[in-house]
Amino acid sequence: MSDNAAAVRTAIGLCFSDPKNESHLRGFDELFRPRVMAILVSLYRKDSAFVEDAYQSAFIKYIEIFSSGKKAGVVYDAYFVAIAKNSLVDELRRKAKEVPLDEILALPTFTRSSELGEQEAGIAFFQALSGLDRRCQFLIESFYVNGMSGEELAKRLKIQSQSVPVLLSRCREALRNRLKK
Amino acid sequence: MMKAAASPGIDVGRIVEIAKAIAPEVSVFDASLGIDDKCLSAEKLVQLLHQGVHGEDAAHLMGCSTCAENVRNLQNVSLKSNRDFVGNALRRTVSQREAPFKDEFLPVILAIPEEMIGVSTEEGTGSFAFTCGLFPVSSNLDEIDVSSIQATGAIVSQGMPTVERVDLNEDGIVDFIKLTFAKGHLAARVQEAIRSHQNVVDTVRIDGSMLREKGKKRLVGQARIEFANRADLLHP
Repeated sequence: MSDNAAAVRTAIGLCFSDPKNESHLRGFDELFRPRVMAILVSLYRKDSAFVEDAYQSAFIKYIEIFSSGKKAGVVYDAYFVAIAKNSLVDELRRKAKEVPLDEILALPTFTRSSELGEQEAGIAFFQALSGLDRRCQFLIESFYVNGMSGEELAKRLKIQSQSVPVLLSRCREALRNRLKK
Repeated sequence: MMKAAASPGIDVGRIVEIAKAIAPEVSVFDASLGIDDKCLSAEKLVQLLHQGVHGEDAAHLMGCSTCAENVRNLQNVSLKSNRDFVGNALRRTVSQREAPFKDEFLPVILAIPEEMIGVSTEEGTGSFAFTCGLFPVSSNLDEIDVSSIQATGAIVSQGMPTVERVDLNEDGIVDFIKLTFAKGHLAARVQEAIRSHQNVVDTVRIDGSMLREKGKKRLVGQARIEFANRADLLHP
């Protein structure tokens, strides 16, 4: 793990130790924000204008989580990134942008809608997605968040366009299995 | 200031249980953000924005349209935003988006594909050719006055660079510009190190002006690079 990634985890620990301490929150923001911004601009490639608003919404949730106390076994940096990604999708929906991701989230196997609310399902989706190999993450995010065409995906991945639906299907299956865990 | 839009509540307890079950094993910031594991991570993207990039990562960036796009997009968000995210979150208010950079600067990322620049003793004291990639914030590269671009610092350019606009995935969007300075010389401190057969890490800076706002807006970027006497590289 890089030194900065370790520093983010330390900053998160400090926020949990004293959730009302503004300087701890600012320290966390300073380290975490640039890195999560890099992740958000790679998630939604069409327009970076929504990224700041998404991060702002996510930060409100982080403060709630810090106040609720640290739980053993949770990798909070990854969890917070999933919250930020879900906030970005929320922002896109709020601005009436078409989010093809809704198609995949609408499937009961992905959302576990009987058990989870919309927010929780979205965060769980992004957490599970981050556990897949990079190519699958890229395929699913590009196709379902950005609405990238099969042809464009094939060009970027340097594969034949007929292979894209096959790969997408495999990646959806891997994601489904990860969510079942 | 305006009040934050109402957002649905979050069941923290439930989502924490899910987070425990499906969290990834590697730090999310060290994981690739491109098409495969060779692509640049969030950590590397943030570092290159501040320090430029050289070596293997620069060579990758100059050949990967997805990483180049990530860099362009990250340059467009305000990493140094004046927006008070923490204060707003504590007050649950949202301030307006503010301009990421002072108007007078256009930050660029300087990419030097070599891990180390090997220089012969003759080159060290005489003329020196130099190639680099430039990833500007502005999507309209035509606004840059290419004739004004010069390198300073460890390498001091002489004359105009030749410019190649690189469109990696042939989608009509220029991903970066490749600059070649046919003539230049090393700074005296680097020359001295080369003569003494010592490796030295120094900063190369690029600056230039914009066509429409000549004298008002400067293009600026930098990267650190290691220099070595070529003889030492051939016969270590």
